Amino acid sequence: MVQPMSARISELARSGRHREHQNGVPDPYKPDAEPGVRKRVIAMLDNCRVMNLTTVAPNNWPITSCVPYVTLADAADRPVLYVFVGLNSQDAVDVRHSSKVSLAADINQEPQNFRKAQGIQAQGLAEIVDDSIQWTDAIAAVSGKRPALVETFTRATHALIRIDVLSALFYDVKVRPVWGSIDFMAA
Amino acid sequence: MSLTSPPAIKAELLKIAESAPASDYVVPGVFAPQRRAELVRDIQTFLHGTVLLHLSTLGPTGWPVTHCMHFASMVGADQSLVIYMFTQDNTRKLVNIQANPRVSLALFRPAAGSPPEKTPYLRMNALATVITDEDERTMVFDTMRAKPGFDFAKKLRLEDQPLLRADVLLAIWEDPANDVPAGTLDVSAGLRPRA
Repeated sequence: MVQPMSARISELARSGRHREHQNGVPDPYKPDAEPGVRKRVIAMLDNCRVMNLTTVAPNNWPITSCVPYVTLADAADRPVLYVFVGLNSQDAVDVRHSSKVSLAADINQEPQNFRKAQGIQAQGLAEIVDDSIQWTDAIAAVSGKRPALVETFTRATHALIRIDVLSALFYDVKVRPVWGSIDFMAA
Repeated sequence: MSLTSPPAIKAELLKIAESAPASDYVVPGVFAPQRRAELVRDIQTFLHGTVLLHLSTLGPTGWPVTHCMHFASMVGADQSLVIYMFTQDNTRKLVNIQANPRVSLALFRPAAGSPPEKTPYLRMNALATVITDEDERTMVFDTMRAKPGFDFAKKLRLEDQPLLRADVLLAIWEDPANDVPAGTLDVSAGLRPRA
């Protein structure tokens, strides 16, 4: 089980400001009330190895980049993603500037095959983490998923970004046709 | 039909191009200007063979939003690169773009069975606007219809949807399978007056 989100991120999330991205446009899909939906979304994220992560640059331009990641969950079954990035990379610079991020992961790489479509678009709050417990958890998760990368991630060369996923839109036609939205901060 | 940018976008493109936008970011080395035509051609080949991209917009409260999109791409006579996307009406991306045209686009396309380290990678900064010109809409729809993988998009009734146009300013391009290391292509360079 990963560490709880930091007090700073928790305050931002609980204030309801994580819904500001809706910008007056409600979610296009009805919230999925299925009891197992949290675990299902986490499993979908876990099935994908790379995502397009969008950060906000200091000049207020969105920047989307493709990054490998690992998925864990906190005590409330909220997805927590860990991303190793270059110490002074654009992603690291941006997350130090703004914690607001967006991400998209498409599990199905054959979009013409509609019957296999699976994907997620999500909003999250990101921060650079330094504590050794989270570094150890993230490295352990990477070693299980992409062992060849473990040796390359050191504190001398990389920063570790933690992303608390707050809300998501998802579609999953492969297992059972469903489009849904979920607010992970809702009780 | 030319790929002339809408006047407001053209003015903003010129303003940004004058400041050499690559200097605002942590980016890999800038490709030599003389390689621009060759690289734009390679990028267009990659785009033509790819069905989906991710478009990111920025809302007024500073939240980025990322969207999975079908698209068509075109290259202008001046090596400008333009991406077109149909979108449903009343969506966040449409609301965001009308308030702030700055967008980001990214693609990562692993061929079946190919390792990630051999996969082309493309990321772009662009200015987006909504296109209402019927001739331009028809040209884009015809181009999209001729694209591999369009069969899936037929179910989406694109012809009834608003059309977005994104004029690319900057591209990060990497094509390891063809020995092209990661580099930055300043697409906006063609807009700057020649010295």
